[in-house]
Amino acid sequence: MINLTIDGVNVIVPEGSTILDAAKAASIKIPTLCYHEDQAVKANCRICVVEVDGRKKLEAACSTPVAEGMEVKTATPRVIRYRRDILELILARHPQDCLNCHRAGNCELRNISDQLGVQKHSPRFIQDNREHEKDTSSPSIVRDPAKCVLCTRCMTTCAEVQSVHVISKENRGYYTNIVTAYNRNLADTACVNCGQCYQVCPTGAIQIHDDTWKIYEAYEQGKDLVVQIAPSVRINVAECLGEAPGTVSTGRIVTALKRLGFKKVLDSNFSADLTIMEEGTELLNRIKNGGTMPMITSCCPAWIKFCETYFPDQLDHLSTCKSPQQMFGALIKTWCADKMGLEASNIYSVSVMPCTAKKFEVQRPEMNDSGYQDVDCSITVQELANMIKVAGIDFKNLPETPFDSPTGLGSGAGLIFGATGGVMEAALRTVYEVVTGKELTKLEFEAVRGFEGIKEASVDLDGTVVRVCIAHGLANARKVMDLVREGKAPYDFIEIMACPGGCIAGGGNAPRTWAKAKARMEAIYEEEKRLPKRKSHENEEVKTCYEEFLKEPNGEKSHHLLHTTYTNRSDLLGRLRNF
Amino acid sequence: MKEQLVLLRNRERYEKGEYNPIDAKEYLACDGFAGLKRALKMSSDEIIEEVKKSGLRGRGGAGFPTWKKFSFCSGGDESVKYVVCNADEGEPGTNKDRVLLTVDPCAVFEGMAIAGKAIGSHFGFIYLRAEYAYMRPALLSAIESCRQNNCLGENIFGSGFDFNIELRMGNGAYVCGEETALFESMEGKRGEPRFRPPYPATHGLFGKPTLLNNVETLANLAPIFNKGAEWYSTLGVPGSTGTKLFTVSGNVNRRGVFELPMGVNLKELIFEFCGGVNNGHNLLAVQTGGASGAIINADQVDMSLDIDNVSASGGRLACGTIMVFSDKNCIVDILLNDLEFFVDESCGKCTPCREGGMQMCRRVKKIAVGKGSVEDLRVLDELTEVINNTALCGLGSSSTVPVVSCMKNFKSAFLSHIDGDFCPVCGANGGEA
Repeated sequence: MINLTIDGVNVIVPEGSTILDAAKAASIKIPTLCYHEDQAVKANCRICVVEVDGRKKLEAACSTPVAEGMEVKTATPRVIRYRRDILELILARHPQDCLNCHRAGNCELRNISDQLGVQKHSPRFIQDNREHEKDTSSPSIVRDPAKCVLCTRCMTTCAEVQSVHVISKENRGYYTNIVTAYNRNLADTACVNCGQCYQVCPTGAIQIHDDTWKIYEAYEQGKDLVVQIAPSVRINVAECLGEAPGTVSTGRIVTALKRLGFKKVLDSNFSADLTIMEEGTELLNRIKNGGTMPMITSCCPAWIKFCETYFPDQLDHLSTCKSPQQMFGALIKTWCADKMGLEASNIYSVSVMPCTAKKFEVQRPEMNDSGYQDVDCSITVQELANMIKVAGIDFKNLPETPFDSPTGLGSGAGLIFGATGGVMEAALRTVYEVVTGKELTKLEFEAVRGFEGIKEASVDLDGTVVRVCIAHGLANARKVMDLVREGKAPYDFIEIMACPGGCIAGGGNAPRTWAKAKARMEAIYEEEKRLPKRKSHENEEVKTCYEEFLKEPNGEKSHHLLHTTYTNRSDLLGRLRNF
Repeated sequence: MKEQLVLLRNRERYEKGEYNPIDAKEYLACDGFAGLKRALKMSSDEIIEEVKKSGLRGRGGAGFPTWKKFSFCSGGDESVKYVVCNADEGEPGTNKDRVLLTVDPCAVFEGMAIAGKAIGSHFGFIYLRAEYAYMRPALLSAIESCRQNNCLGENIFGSGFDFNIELRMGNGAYVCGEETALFESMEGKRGEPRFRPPYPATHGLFGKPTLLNNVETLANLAPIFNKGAEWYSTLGVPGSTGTKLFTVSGNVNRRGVFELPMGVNLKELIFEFCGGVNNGHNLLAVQTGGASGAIINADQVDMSLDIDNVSASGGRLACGTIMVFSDKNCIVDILLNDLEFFVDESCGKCTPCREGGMQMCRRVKKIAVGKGSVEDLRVLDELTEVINNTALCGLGSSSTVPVVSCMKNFKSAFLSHIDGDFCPVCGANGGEA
């Protein structure tokens, strides 16, 4: 342990801590911009400079390790003057249009400006906004490089967490800019639309593609608005509206959606259960008939695009199941429409997702098996929170409303889809009972839970051992896929989610940290325990759906509506090379 | 004043065509590798002690005691260590490393091998400036020649010590002369400095302990070990021992790279050794140490050129750049030229250098074209202070040195530009049409 003094306060912190860590321990909030608690230290913004006794120049608190007897001053007039200067230097390049910026509420740059009180001083530096065009080509992400402060958090995430390297620096010095290769439109790159760059961006330089206007337009056209909400949405909406991470607000969300004009509010947990029925059956068939093994989950559209781009030769490993969103989409405009007494052609089907990549998925041309575009519009948790705000709904004090039937019931197995390992756990619960014919006594498969990057487990199904693997974060997925390609992956079933932590930490939520993701994960497992049914095959509505409509998992109707095909997208890389 | 040829001992023969620098045999024939042969018989501590006794200090910029750098890298458990020779000579007006690597590359290799023996490293890299790419074939043959003559490679001179040297090319960025940016560049990444700690002595190239020295520093090791530290320490002045290569450029009659003992007088160097300011003009200013060095006025040139003395003047001696300006130049233009260089060469990683550099440049430009105000001087004061104190690397913080020194030493010139007085050189409108 190291003893040091910060602003006269004695602190004892473990060896290897930085001044920033020690300041936190001393209840001092040093402003930071490029620093992100989930990422390696970058020390490039220099906002966090502090005075260290005996050193002539200032040190960056984020990168300077503490030393025994160190005396640090974090708020002398000199320190504050320099911090203000640095901030004003950044602001001199930053468009002064906060009123028009979607990040106005939670912009880190603005918060630091507030903290340092820059608005009380007249600007001394020559204003010269960064002039870059907005890139709105992607259905998921909007890049506005004019608002970039070059903290490099986004490119760190893109490279290190997701291993797709879509954005990086070009030029140098004053003209440095974060761009895609050859400044191509984001839509024409290998970007997987995961939105993790948005999750870490401190300003409005990266935004979610806003699709809420489509919903208002459909409403005005008199369409029947039907909405499904993903498992993790109930964990994340309240957080976007200012409540603590992990606040579950299922009933309030239904109420809010009804007030926003949605005729039917359905639960994607239902289609998650359906996915388990289809995917579990597919797995058992592959084992029995010698199909391509290992089988890999297909719920995550960012992962699917990643696989189509980087591993087009391995597409046979993917389960042919559509994602729960798209399965539900196909059912809403067929079976559900009849059950709800709505005309399929007049339904405007919306999904609320923790995910930016779902916006890409709904546009895939093959996703129209119902005879219409299966899901018309996918919005993120953030966008829903905005709609609630715009409508003046006091979310905190809303009464609770249950989901609409016939597809408003989901099992706990469907709910845990939201966390990494959840699909696997849900599948194991069902596959176990189907294969062994016995009742599963302990439902929790602890080995597949948690935030370890690549998790492995073996499950004994009455003599047949199923070896499973769970990867989240595409850099981890790449490691697993390299093994699969080499034929060295010792698994039968692999779950892959693009976002580190799974959907609860997906690109469409409030900005992430691992600490927040942990709170959300705990909430999802806590909530799951409360549900009456915790296995997908016990979901009564799923049973009804098969009896009345689909007949059997992997049957003819299922294949038509609930399964899909994949596209080789390696040309996205090839074009890069031949440009 | 006379040249004292220690590092450039073979220059005359090279210029006459009597010495082939890329043939290790010819270098061996003139006492080459004698220093290395002696060092190979010494222990790591003995070598470092010898360097300490010689008083050798770094010739790249800051003048850090070389033996200290060695001792930081020696010892430790790490089995892989690197010696890197910084031949990314980017400082404007500096050509000494080019001359050294042309005239006597083997002496630099010898120094690297001695450094390798001192810290227990078997791998050396030379990071060569992109603009010196034409030297690459010669250097590669010189390395090969050394290898064939057992001066490099496995079991050097039968001592059991292995040392190999490889050449790496830069790509034309000034910042890659900064040691950590150089490592990044060598690792194939964008050339941006790293924050410190961790220091290169523990986490350098490829995360391994790395000793990085300037070409000239390494070249000094050969004579030190050949003739002994005691002999070496008699050269120069106390605190700055040895000889120094000075690159004299600008408005003087005699320009070039000269080897002179440390501690020579700058005034004598300019007016006697180099024959004074050319075309009969008067001396306006001298910038020592390249673009990031202090700019001093004609009254300040009576100074001794040793490392500590030049540091005290706000500049840096170590790369030995002497740029002389006659009174036919406008001092504000000279400063503007410096700042434009820094704007161009900033890597863009940290805010103070990236944004502050341009802000400084624009303020000075405003003054240069006669549109400046006292407010600009005040903002420049603030900017230099914040950039100098908070920039991530040496490039950023030292970019303020010419500004601060220039504004101090030529205050009246700045004030007259602001007042709209006629500038004798560039005219009232700053030379702009």
